[in-house]
Amino acid sequence: MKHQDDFVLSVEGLSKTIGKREIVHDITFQVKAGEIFGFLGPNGAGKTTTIRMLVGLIRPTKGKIIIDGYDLQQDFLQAIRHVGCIVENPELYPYLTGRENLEHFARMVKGISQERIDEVIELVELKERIDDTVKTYSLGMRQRLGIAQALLGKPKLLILDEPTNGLDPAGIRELRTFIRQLATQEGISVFISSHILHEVQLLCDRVAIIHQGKILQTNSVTQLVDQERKVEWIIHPVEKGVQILKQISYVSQVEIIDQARILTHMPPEKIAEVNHQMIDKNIDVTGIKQYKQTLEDIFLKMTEGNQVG
Amino acid sequence: MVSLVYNEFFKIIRKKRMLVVTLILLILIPIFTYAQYQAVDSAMKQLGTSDWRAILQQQIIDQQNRLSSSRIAPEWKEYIRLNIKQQQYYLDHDINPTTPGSPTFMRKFIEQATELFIPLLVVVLAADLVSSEHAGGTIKLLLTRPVPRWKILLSKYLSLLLSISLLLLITAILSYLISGIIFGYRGWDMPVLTGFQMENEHLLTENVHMVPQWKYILMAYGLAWFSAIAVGTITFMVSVLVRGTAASMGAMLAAVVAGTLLSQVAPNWHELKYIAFINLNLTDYLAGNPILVEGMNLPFSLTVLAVWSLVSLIIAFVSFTRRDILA
Amino acid sequence: MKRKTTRTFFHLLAITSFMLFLVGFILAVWDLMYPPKTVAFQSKKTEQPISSEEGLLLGLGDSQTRGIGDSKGLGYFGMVRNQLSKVTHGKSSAVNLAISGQTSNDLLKQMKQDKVLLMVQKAKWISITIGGNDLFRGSGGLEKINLEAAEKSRQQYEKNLKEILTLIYKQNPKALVFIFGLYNPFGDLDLKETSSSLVSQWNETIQKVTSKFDNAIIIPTFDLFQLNPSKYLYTDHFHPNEIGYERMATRLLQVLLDQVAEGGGK
Repeated sequence: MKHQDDFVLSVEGLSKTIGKREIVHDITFQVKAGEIFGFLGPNGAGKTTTIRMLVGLIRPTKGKIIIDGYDLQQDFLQAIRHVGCIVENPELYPYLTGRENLEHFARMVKGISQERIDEVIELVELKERIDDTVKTYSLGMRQRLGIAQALLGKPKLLILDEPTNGLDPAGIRELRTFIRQLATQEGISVFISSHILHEVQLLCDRVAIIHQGKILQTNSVTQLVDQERKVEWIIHPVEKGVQILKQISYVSQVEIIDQARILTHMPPEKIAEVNHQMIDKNIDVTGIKQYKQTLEDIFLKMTEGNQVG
Repeated sequence: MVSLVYNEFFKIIRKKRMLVVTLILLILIPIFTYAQYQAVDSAMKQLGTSDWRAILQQQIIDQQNRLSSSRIAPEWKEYIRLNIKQQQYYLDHDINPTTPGSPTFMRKFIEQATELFIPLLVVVLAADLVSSEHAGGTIKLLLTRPVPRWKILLSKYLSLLLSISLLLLITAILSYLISGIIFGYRGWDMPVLTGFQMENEHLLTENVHMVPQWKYILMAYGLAWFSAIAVGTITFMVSVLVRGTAASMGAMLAAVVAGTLLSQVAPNWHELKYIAFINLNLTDYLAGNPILVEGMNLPFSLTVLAVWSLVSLIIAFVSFTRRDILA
Repeated sequence: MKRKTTRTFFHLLAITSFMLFLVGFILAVWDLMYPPKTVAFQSKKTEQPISSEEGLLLGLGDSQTRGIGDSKGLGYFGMVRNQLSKVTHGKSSAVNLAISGQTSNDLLKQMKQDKVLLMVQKAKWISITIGGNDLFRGSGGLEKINLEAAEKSRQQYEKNLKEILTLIYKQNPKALVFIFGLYNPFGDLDLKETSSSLVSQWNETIQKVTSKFDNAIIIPTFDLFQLNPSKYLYTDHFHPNEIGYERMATRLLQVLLDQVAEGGGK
């Protein structure tokens, strides 16, 4: 039953309808081995529903989820074996100690040794507090224990739902380093959902942008960021320049900043070409400034068109 | 599977539910013991201050007289003979039948507790077994293991059965130890009469026979155990269906109490007997207590309880294995 | 790892108790479904044939006919039976169907059983004590006699008695029915007047009902226990004792033996 391909996670045409509302619509994407994949979208875009489908908590209405070559619906046990996950908050049994929690989940999978438990505890640096009950833990410690739990079964795919929620800046940075380390040193693929663009940009190799249940784009973060740049033109006269810019197909979002400056979005390699056109039409170009775009800009640009009102 | 059951049972123990239930027992059993002691005391006063042995002797002679000299229906004769034997035993073993030792208290306690008290404790144990995993969010961790959902639910159910057994054992041990302080610890092999049957408002004595008290206690606890499991199973289903612990516990407590009340308020409403909570008092059949609702007997009650349990289990399993975990 | 040992202990304890109660449950069901029957008991179960060449005496009613209070367990019925058997040289028989604590309601229900009706058909003489339980329960006990309730249960009693007698005569028009009147067991207590007047009211009722049936005879007992209740009553101060029953038996025998000599009812 094993499908042969290079993807750790491959999702095809995934949809979920609850009641009459279609929450997730025809989602397709792939996660490669060893990469950190971001799943970016505003709250209510269908991120959590998708993640719950990925780990088998919700049955998809349509579509296929293949994890490590196994179909999740048909081969649940094989498929889920190599997945570690934290869905939403790291909710563990508060009345058990950290170690008891880990032992509890270790007993549910064959072949997790006591050594592995110790190893994982070491990895998340919880050694001193591991024999205290979880209710005495701070959120950061719970988060780490949650990750320890997810790592117990030596997963090939780690699924984290909004992992930085509620963490302080230091905690967030710590977590980021840790996840990077997991991906590079242990070769684990990480699937992270987030609504914080900045975070995804810093952490992820590739990203899928989801909005209102649909995937708008899937690309590597660098490509996304490089694909279009903000270019500021200082020209005279401004009105004429705007007219010309608006006629060029690959230039978008022409904004007049003040009497001399215009902000546009356009591929950086086309700057010279546009410059030529300006000069041909007798417009004085006194300055061209390139800005490196943030993911936030791209995201806002993509989701803007779909927003009602 | 063994380790799954171990997990679930371990959680029940660590959740301190067992401790709460034990504490309730620790508070209530002394109260019941004292109440029993009061009852005994007033009975003694009513009989006058005379020696109970003399009274017992007199009763035995009276009954022997009746047996030898009158024409009594044969089944009554058998009954009287058994009664005499029982009283003779009291005399021979120097047991005051009005202050009979802690095994008797154990027996009386479980006979009283089967209908309401034990079911309530079971509800406390079982009501949040599944719903607490929802409430705490840990269900998401449980269901993302490489274990099929039905196995997870089954392990929860088995651990419930184990903890119900442990609950009854604790009840037995505590009632023995605590009441023994006042009543003494003797009386395990005291004979007890059983086999009375009620039919059309008549007491049928043809099946009456004597069993040693330890066996009677074992049987009584066995029956109480069965009805406790039935209550536990129904509560288990509610716990699967309802998310909140408070809601599931409230619903079940109301159902158990309503069942007990209904059988007393409306014994002529015959359809009542098909409700599981009316049939909980299985020890009544052992003790020969009158059954309020007509048409109920042991096989009937067992069938009703078994059917309810089975249906509950099916609903629980179907719902648990199919349902989306949305929150 | 002390904790671990405790855990395992609880686990094993739970499993053991599970087994234990399972055994208990099976034992209980087995015991209730297939009760062990004593051998002696089974042999006695066979019904004794009723030899009724000279007639069958049938006892119906409550504890008085049952003989409660007689240390020998005979009661007036046992005494009458013995005497009767002497007179008829063992050719008569007696069956006592009285049940302790019966009220007229209960007796009426009992009368509707096939087995009882069969006996009524065969009986030549029927002796009944009924009403004591109606009276002293229906009126609310002797501490607080409730006249209204007493009147209510008296009316019910009247109706029941009429029905019982009608039932008997429908089955067996020739039977001679002896109904014992009621006595006042509380004649030496504080509420003597009230209780006595109640009892005589009820006795009037018996009179009234019985008068409509030719073959029904009242045997009064009020006078027997009137003056010296404690002498003739059992320690429970409600049932007659041996001597009390003897007096009742004497009265019944006086009428009954006349009938035997004459060879039965009309």
